Amino acid sequence: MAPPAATPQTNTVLDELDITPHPRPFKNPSWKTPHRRTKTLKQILSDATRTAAAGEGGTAPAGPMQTTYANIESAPSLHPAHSKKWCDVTGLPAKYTDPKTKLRYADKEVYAAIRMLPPGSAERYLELRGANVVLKGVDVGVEFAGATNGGVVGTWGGVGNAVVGSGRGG
Amino acid sequence: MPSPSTSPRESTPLPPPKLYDIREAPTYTTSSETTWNDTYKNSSEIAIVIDNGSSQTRAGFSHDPLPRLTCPPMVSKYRDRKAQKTYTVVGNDVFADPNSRGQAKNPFDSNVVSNFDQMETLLDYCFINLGVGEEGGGGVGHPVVMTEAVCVPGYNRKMMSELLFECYNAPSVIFGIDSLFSYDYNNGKTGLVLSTGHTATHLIPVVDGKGLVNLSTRLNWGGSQSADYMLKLIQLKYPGFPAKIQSWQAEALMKDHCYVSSDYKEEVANYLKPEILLEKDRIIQFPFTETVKVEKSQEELDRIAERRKESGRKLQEQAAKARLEKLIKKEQELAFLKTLQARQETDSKRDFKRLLEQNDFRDEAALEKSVRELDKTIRRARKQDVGAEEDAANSAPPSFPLLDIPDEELSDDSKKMKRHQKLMKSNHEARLRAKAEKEAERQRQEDLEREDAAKREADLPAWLSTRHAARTAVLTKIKDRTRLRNELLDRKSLASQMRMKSIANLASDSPPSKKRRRGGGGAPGTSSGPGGGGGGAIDDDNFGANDDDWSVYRNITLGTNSDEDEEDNELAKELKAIEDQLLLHDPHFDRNDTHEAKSDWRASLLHAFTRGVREHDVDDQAQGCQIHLNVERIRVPEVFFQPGMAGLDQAGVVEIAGDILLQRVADERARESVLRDVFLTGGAVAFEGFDERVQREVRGIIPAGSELRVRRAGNVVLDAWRGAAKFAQGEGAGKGGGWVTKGMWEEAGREYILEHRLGNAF
Repeated sequence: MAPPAATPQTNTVLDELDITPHPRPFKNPSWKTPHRRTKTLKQILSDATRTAAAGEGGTAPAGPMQTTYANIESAPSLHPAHSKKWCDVTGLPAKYTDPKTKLRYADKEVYAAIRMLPPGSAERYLELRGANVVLKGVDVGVEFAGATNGGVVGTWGGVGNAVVGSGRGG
Repeated sequence: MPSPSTSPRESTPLPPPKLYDIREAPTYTTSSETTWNDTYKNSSEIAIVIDNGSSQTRAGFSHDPLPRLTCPPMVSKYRDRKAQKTYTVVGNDVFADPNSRGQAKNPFDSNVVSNFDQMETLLDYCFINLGVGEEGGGGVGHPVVMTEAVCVPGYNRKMMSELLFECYNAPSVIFGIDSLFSYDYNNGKTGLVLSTGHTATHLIPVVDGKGLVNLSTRLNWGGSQSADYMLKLIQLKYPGFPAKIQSWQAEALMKDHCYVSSDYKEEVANYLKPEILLEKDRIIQFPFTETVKVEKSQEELDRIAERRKESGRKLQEQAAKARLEKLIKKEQELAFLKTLQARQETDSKRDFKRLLEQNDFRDEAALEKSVRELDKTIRRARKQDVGAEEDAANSAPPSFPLLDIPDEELSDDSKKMKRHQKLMKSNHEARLRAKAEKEAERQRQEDLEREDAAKREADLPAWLSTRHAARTAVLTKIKDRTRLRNELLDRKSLASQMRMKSIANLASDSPPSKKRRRGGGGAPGTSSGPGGGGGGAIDDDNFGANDDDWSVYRNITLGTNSDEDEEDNELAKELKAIEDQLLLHDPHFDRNDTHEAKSDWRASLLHAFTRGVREHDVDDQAQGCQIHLNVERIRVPEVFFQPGMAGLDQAGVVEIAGDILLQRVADERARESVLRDVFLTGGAVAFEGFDERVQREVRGIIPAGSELRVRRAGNVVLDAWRGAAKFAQGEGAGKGGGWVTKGMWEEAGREYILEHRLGNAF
């Protein structure tokens, strides 16, 4: 089955599926791929804010209701019922918080289990709830995590999001 | 969870568990292309419709009932060194080969396209599959309808337009929002569209057929995050699971077993109660290979057991014999010392002193001390088994006739016999004495018990409190032992460090400093070692005098150790004895309070969580490869309603809906009609109970008496494409609404679009 060493070995499965040699009559023959075409969403958004800021100083003022990808993001919950605490391990309602690991737990059996967790596990549980953020300033970090349930994903996404969001909400 | 109804636990056996198999690797079937209508070739009016989603790409022609191509937007460029060529594989095909699978990439970042090189390859693949394009590079030759994200950044639109117009020469293009197409396909006119996508969830109000994109809101949570959440939950729930759980498996589990709870708070609080869990627990069986243990026949087992017993008995006998001999020797020594003591009275002081010195004693006190000590050791030794007890007790005392005859009267043979009889006699006597000692010990125990009983009768509460204290002490001991054992598993724990210190001390050649030795009471440093029991060694530090000293060796051994097991057993036995007494005498202490009942799996919340309602057999390989889904079944979809649960600092879908309905839709009349049609679409609303939950919760926030209707798209995943096709056919092709031609685009700018009712605002 093995071909002689001189000829390149071919992958029969991929040879069949490969679209590289397939003719593409639908393509413009004079099309040249632009130089750099990969930007992460974060880059795209920060570029957009920069141009928007530049544009506002210029001739085309953006309307007050201009919606952008960044500002249609939902604002933090204001509903008090949604700050309920759940057991990090079982998901049941949690009454207590372990002061050492900061994990929430439902009863003493779960507490015993939390104390027996192998190193690193507690962090993974916290990460699941986004509460493993360690900010540089210790005081700020604690307050931040406590007050907002420790969100990272949303808040860093768009610059000036909170300002725009609250303006729209009113 | 102490439950009063403990008795019916055993009464009804549970039905055998229903097992769900984990799905096999995803198999993709491409739709057969034989039945497609080929009229598109003649008409440049017929549009190419592409639903460009981040989890699925669907492409087809506007007059088709279904998209011709459905595949994940995966692109794999893979350079094969052996073949010396680069393979480009797209869609389902990337999964065909492990190499291409490893290189597969998704051009999307969240719900917008970020890698346009891959996007171009993906579009190439679509157009190849659709079979469009004329010879000579004339472009696709059909108008293109494509979906895009809500409020997609201008950069992305620019890049996509560039691709479609310049690379593929599309005559005209229309961009629209997938969920609005879906709503339109389901004949929606005015309502609120809730669309749960792969990476994000959107809520868009629609009034008179026009999507109010400026009032829309996005929640950064979708099917992919849910699946990821599911995977992480399972991984944390079963840390040592033998199989690797793939992300697609987690996704499949989520789709198959999760549902939206109608009242989460209430349901989750009771989820692990046995009677509810029995019904709701889902057991997923992962594949496993059973390693067949070589079964030994009963005969073989018997033979092995017999052999073991035999050798054990022999050893015991030998040990007993050795002990007996030692005991006799000691007894003789004691007798000698006693005669020495007796000579004190008869001999003169000087003679006696010389006698003492001859026998290595300093004075009478030393002699007395060694007599006392020897006596004690003998007593202790007698309590041990000295072998062949029964025989000695049952048979009549053997006679030793030769002993009374002086040696001179005996022949050589008889002398030998006499020596033997002498030995036998001392054996016999030693045994008798041992028996007596044992009897005395038993007597002493009985006395103790009687005393204990007397105390109990005299003052029950005091007695109970001492017993309870003893029980707590044993429990703490057990707990401490398990904790220590666990801490030793952690290399950085204090216990581990102490252990390393002990090892270092034991291994060092130089004796530790005097100061150190005096400092710690049981400091484990010794240079003479455990065998150095010599009485007069200069540097002896009395190591071993205290029983706890020996624990240093136990401290440094790790892992399962028969010694440790034995001690555990002993502790358990002790606890059992105390608890039995308490059960008997304390009216407030019942079976449910015992350690055994408390550590019983039936009472364990975590057992219910990880192992369900049935007992877990550690040795059962099938059970080892099972996962139980219970709380996760509602916990995962719940994130849409409470994003804070997964660390997402955003409002949930119902709160967003309330915000849109009550704050942003200003017109009272419009709000009324919007409420009459809350429309759910997208993959994740396929969770059972999603619509009921939305109905229930939205009802709670809207003004009383308003009419509220919640409905689901006919097909939550496919209707976006169908809607786009319908839009291209009906409105677009005829009236030209929303179509941007190449000329317009070149004229008006790279991000240009014409606003239409199902698209983004410009």
